[in-house]
Amino acid sequence: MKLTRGERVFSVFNLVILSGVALVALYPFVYTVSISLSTAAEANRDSLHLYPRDVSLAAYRLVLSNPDILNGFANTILRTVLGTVLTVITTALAAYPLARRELPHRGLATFLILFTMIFNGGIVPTYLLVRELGLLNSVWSLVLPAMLTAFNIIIVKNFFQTIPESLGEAARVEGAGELSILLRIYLPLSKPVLATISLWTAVMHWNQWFDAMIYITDDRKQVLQNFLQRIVIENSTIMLDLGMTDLNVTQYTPETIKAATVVVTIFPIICLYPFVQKYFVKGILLGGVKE
Amino acid sequence: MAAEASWTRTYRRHRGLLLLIGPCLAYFLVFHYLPMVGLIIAFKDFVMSHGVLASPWNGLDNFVRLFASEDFPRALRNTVLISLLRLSFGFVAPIVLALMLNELRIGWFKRGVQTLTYLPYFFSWVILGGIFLMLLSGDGPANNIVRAAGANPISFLGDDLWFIAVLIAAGIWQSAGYGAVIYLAALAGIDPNLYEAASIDGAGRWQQTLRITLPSLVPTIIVLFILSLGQVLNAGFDQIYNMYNPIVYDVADIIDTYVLRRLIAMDYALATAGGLFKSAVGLVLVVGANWMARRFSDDEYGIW
Amino acid sequence: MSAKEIIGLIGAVVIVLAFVLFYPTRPHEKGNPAQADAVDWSAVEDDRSEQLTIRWLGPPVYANGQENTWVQGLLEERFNIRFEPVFLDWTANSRLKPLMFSAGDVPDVSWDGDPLYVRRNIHHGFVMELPYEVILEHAPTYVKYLNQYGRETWLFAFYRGKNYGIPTFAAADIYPTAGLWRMDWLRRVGLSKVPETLDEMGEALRRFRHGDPDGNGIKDTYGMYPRTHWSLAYADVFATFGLLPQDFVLRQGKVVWGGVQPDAKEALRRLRRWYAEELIDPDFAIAGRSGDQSSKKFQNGKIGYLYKGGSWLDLELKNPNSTYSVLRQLNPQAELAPSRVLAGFDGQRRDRVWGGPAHVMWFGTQVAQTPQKVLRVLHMFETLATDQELFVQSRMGQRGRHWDMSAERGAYLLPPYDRRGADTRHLVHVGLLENAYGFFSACAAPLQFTRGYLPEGMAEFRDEYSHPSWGLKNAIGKSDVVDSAGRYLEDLRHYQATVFTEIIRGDRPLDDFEPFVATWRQRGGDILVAEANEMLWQMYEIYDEVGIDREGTDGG
Repeated sequence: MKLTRGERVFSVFNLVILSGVALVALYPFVYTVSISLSTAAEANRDSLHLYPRDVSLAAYRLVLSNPDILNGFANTILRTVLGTVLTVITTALAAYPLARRELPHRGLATFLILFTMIFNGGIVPTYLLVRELGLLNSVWSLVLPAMLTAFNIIIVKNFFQTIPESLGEAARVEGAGELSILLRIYLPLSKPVLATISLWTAVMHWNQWFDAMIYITDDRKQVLQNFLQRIVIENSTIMLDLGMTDLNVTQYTPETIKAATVVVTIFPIICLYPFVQKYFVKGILLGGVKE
Repeated sequence: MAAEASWTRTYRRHRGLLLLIGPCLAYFLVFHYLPMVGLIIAFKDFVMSHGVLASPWNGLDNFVRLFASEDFPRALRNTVLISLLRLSFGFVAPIVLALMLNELRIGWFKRGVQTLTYLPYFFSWVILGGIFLMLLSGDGPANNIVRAAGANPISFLGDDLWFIAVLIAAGIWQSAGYGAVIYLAALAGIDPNLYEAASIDGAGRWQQTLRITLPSLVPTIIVLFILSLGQVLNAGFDQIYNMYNPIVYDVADIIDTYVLRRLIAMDYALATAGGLFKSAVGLVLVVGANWMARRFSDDEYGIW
Repeated sequence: MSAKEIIGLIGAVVIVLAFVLFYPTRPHEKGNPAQADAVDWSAVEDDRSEQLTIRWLGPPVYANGQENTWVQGLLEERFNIRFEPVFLDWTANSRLKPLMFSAGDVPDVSWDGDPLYVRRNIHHGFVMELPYEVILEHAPTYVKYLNQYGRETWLFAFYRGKNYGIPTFAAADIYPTAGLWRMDWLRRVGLSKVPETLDEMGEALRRFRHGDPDGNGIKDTYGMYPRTHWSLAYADVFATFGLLPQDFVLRQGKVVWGGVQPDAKEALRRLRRWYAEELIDPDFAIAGRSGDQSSKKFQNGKIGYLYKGGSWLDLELKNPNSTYSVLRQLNPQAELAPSRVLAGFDGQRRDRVWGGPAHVMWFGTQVAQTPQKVLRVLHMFETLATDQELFVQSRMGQRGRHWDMSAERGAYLLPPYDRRGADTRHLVHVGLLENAYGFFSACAAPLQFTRGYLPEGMAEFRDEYSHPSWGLKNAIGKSDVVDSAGRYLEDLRHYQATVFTEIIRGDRPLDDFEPFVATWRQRGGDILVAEANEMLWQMYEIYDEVGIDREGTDGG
């Protein structure tokens, strides 16, 4: 393809701008890793903290030596995998009929689902419901209430609508049921959108701690984020302000512990991300589903 | 009778679809609509040991209290203002980013940039708030640049206008990469033949962007815009909560920070009243926007 | 949506609304707590040979606590109780606890830190009444110490004429905290001793800013950087005017709000001048929730004075992460000196302290069915107040197994209990024995119990630099003890913080102070102050009931 002069200028400009954006976006990660590896004194130094000049693994030793951490990792992985798989399956099942124009009461059903995006019952009734359903202290309390969201359904529904209906028609003529049309025709074409909502759901489950804090009181079933939250709060200056001085507290600075905690939590998901992102790229390659 | 018969026939013909949507609606009924009964505590003198249903009614008292307080109307004003700013700038940023990414032709570079711009989204505002404080404080790197340029240091976080500007910019920086993914997914669905055909017709890349890329994003843009109108009274709690300070309470105290203060004080009735008000406004905006979108596109766009 | 669908939707909503509207509501007199069964205490007998099961929600310090620890076993055996402990962390304590309660899951005994929460829980009908006579009769020694160290706590458990729980006290909170100065800086700018008055402090800060105390030839140092928490922001300066800006204080026998007194304007005038002279690091205003930057600034050599840094622990060079150690790593030539609390214009030293009132342990309404549990718990509190060995064991476990002591270190935990998290897991917690955060022994120990367990030099440091007689405390314990606190207090604190910061920074004229006071009063301040005065008189009436001599109190 031949480019005009203006287009070439734009390409260079685009490249430069995006490189700048990428570097700026990388900074918090660099900062956090650098602080997490610093000694107390180094972390308190006025600096951009692009790298630690004085390295210490004390914060990691503290965070990783906590016996609850491994347990928390396991529970978080469980909720993330279970939650993401269930969300993707049920969202596809819900989005498919909504994507079909012939669904009776389609407008009403869509409205009823969207309505929940704007209105929610608030914390007290939701807690009472989960409790009444007997889900307290079970992984289901973390998975079920967040399983289907209006936003995911709409995204997938819109994607389904870009798939030509004639494909489904052909299968229907051959006697295929709706479920098998969904499974055999729609899902294979929808990898990009399914990958997208999987990543969102996985990130949400990985980072979520508030629901686990109110639904899980048994530490054996508690998630990683909550243990880390505790480590951070225990070491915060607020505790010192409340007169909770303790001979141990001054051994670490809250900053290094907080940073090590963040690195420990987001590291797995950052590692995972490029692999999921491949699917977006594949999706771009697979792009031409329209006739 | 005839009408009834035709209804039954319709249902029977589409029972496959109905069987699929049924469990989904049941789910929403149980996990979303059932707890909504709890919204009535906005109209009650909520006594927790009596429960939601048996607590005595007190009419609109909670709402009167809400609007009679000094802080709620101010919080409402701030929320709307910040949201509108976010909507005007923050909404466009991911579209621009997605279009720019789409123009990149070097595969690894494109993937790399996309990964990196997404990165800030994984960080919570507790962490980012600390980083911004360090960057923007009086003797921080940002002000070192200002000083080097010969200007007086700027109190980025201690001045109403600067604070709002920083808030919006930081919000964009954190979530534009995340927002762009959705548009990239939509761009993935565009038929490459269209570009080829256009290019044969002699359209340049800029022309292609205007005539093919942008129009194919319109449905996504409209859906996301309508949905974000529903969130107009959510001005971004996490970010504000972790970045604000006494100097800027006047412009940064939003409905959510106000409601949190009431929640912490176990004043659930008032917190619910505040939340209900928020939702009601969101509903009106979404329904209105959807109606407009359908009306001006001959029922082609819109979310239901 | 079709018209039929819309009608159907409206129909469904109407049916639900009808159900909700006609659901029988329980009468509830506005503002009064939900009624619970009254107990005839004269008829209650506690047969100590009968084992009682008590579900016990302690303070949220033991987030990872475990059942059946040594400490639990010790108290269970001694008092013939079977405990079912409930462990919450700080976040769960404020957010999950009310939800548990609303689902009917109220433990037999619960901890609440602030009077606001005690009173909300009473209002919501979770708390059982506990008359003064019962506490006085069954735990007289405990009451004696409570009356000595934290008598205001009685008010925290009081609501509309009745008492609702056992108040606790924290003996360590009577010590004001000393400040820290860069002694090497002071010497370099020509001062030979640590400032003792506001004027001396101003002079030192001025030289720190303008006299290049670090000798690097660049004007890059400030004098001070205030703390961010409301209880500490400029508290040192305001205290020299006899004021706590964010608390109720006593003036001529009346309770007033510190921040709206004419003296507060004088304090602001001083701070405003200091700010204009660049003595205060301008970053102070923007810290927000991201945390207190004062220690960081101090350790970085940006400021030369730190308020509330000066406890004995900060000066400990043996701990590589103490304030002094970190400062030395960053500035090898640095020298630190603690300073005594500043003296006011009348020569009297004053500093804000919490002062001893701590928390409330209360009983759930269901305990009215088994009131002997109350007597058993009171018996436990009484025994802990009289039996020093038992008290120490209830906090730190068994000597030789969980802890040991030496003259130099005082009491210290033995491995593996000294590992972070292992202490709270086993409910052993060294910290200070004088705090009110034991899991079962939520009461503090009287000072004579604990002195022997402190490290060498700590008691002398306290006597020299933070003498209890210099403490200035809230006139009614904690401000949120008044009825309307939930409605106004937090918002007014926000408002005041904004106005004060703006006045100090010069964003507003000093004369905005009077309009601020008028607005503050009109936005609920007057109501808070009126209620606080009622509370003060209420407090004296309670003192009469619990055997505190009014003559011995500040205002009586």
